[in-house]
Amino acid sequence: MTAGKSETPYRQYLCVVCGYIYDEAVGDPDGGLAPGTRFEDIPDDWVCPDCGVTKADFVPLEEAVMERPANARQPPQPAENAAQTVIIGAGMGGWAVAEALRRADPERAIVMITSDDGAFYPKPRLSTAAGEGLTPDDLILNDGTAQAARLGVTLMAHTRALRIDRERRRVLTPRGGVPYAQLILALGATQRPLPLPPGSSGQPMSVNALNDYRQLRSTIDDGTASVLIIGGGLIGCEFANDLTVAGHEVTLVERSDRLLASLIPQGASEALRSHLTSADVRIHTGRTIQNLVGNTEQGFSARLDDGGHWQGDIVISALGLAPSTGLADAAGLRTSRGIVVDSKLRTSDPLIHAIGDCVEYEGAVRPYVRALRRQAEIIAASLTGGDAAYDGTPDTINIKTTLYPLAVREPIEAGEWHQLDSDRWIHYAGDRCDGFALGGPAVADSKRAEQWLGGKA
Amino acid sequence: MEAIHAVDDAGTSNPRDLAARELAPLAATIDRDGLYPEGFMRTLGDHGLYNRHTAAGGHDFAGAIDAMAEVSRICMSTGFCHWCHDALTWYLDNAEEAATRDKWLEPVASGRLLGGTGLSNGMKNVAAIEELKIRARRVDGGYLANGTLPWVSNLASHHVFAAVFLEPDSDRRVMALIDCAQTGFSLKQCAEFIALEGSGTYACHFEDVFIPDDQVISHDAAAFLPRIRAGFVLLQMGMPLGVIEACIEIMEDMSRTHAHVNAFLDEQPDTLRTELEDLRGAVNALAAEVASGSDDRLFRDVLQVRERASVLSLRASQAAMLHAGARGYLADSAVQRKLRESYFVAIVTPAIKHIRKELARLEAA
Repeated sequence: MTAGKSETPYRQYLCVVCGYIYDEAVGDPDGGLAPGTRFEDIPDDWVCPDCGVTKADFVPLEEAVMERPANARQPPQPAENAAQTVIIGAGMGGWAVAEALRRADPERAIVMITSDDGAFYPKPRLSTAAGEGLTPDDLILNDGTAQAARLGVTLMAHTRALRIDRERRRVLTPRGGVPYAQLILALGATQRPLPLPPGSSGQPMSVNALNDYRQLRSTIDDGTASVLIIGGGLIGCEFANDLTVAGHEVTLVERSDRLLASLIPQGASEALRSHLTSADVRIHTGRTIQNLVGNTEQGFSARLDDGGHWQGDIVISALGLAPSTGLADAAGLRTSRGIVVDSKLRTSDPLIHAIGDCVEYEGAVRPYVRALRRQAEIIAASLTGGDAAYDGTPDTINIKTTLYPLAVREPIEAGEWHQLDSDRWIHYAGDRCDGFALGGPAVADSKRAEQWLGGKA
Repeated sequence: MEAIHAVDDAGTSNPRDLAARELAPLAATIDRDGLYPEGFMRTLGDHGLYNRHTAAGGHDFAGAIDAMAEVSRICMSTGFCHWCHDALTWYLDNAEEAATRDKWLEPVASGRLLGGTGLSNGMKNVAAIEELKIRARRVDGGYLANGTLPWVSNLASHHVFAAVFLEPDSDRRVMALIDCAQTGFSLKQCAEFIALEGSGTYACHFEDVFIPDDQVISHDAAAFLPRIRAGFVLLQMGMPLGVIEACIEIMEDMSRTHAHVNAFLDEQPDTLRTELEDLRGAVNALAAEVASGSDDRLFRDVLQVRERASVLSLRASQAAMLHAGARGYLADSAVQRKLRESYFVAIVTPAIKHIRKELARLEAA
């Protein structure tokens, strides 16, 4: 050993295969290397004592340095409390019932389980934000942690409810079981999937939550995007309106012969179509997609059943909402189109309530904000000994197509629409008036129309 | 002496009976002498227990996990071998090369040919934790592989296993089956392990090993691994479910003589049993989804349940030690063996630390 070498501090070498560290100071006496043996003096036939590779697989040790990230720990489990109320879902329905319940009972332990981050935001604004120049994050009124703290709720974010074990009164999640005394399902709804003919490889996106919306905006915000919207219902029309206002090139394909056919009269559909067309939305009614190929990175192309062809950046599927009933089905609760509830918003299990877009009451699903607000108050009353009841009557629906906004009271029974003037329609079931539709400037009269209808009923 | 197979057919396919009859007598020897229970591993195959989670078995992941849990309840070292073999079967069932699937799936799924999974390195590579350790250059009709993989389990000289290689010319990752009998390949037993010495674990050395195309599982593992990762990780749940069950049984058994003092311990078997039931229910729910799911959301759920199982295993084995007292320290005691096994649940890929790193990434997305 030369003098120069011995002055060099002893070094360490890492076996890249198994992680064994050769320390020159210690050597490997069992392998024939005396303490102090320099790495370069190790013979080529020496092997790693733990995995058998030669010194060729050793590298000088560089110590890993890392600040401990804030999210290194998993969140603690909520304390086991069999008396608590558990809410599944942190959409508008979940937060509305948490708020109403906290107002009715300041003491109750409430746990909320959500698969996303729990951010509190008004979902209807997803279809107006781009036109108003707002980013997705501008829509958040409170992040999940802050909203939970405000309402005294224990939030289990990023946690999916996998099963409801009704016998043991526990919600099963991948992070453990959560006991409940009362359970509230705020599961929401999902966009119905688009059935594509064989040969199609493109997967359209659907925008049903803030995360989807972030993905949409990150794809189109760079410049002018060419967007294909499939479905001319409420969400399809609102997105068509908003994205054209935001400067994008929008094409809308609707299977039936007019827009919003299930909700508004023929004349209102025509007025809306004319306003959207004037703002350069290309509308194809009575048409379906025959073929869709592509992806978000390279763009999409679509063929219509009339042979027409579209090529562009992104495809949004907006075929309408289907209540999310999977968890309720698996738990053996009564479901039909949605989770079936009584006038107390109770499911077929009296310990389990349901609210919002996942609910079916007397055969009707009402996926609107006003309905869920009324439902939240009734659940809170029901759980705290009150006797309020939900009557399931329709509320006025505001369709935020800003180029031609609409306010609609859905008719209850079959009948006929009568046009009063260019922007006003009334629905008659027999000789009974049970709905209205107001468009453009006439939307300002919706309160008066509600009162008038209330007087008639 | 009673012949092992001289039992009426009705009871033999029940994994609990099978493990009690044929594995329990070997458990101490496996642990202390490092016996690899090859005969029992073949018996599992004879009873169709490696073929539940495949397409042919109707993707019954819950059934596969249940069988592994019964094995792990008796001996988790063997439960780990069971997982290695189930994982290999899962890759072959999904192999992109039809020739590979046609040639290898049936012998492996039936247990006639046993094998392991060298995927720890590949999975860590995809999660940006490690470099790939084997390089495989494209040659006529296959690949030529060089390098060393430390610690691949459920191996013997006549076994097979799957691993991920880097193809340096194209920078692609290739996943393939390795036959341990292939020229240039050698198994080296260097280190001695605790708790898992009977798991047939070796360092695998490759020196110009030719891998023919009919052993390639995927020519593009970066795209393949996300499709099989949820099943790969969820299958492991047989190990913690079995170990936790065994620990609870130890506590329940101890309470017959020590209830008057064990009642003063923080962890009690009834609470742990409630949590075990929750865990099993969550696993069964995810078991119905993993065969067809490849998205990040499902993988997040699977990692969470896997992390939860690690933590619960550690709690249960620690509690079993405290409930058992000095008897747990006997060299042949199952209690201290469970303690060592439970730590393996928490450190085998994906270890608690890997899971938390990946969850931090997935939840921030």
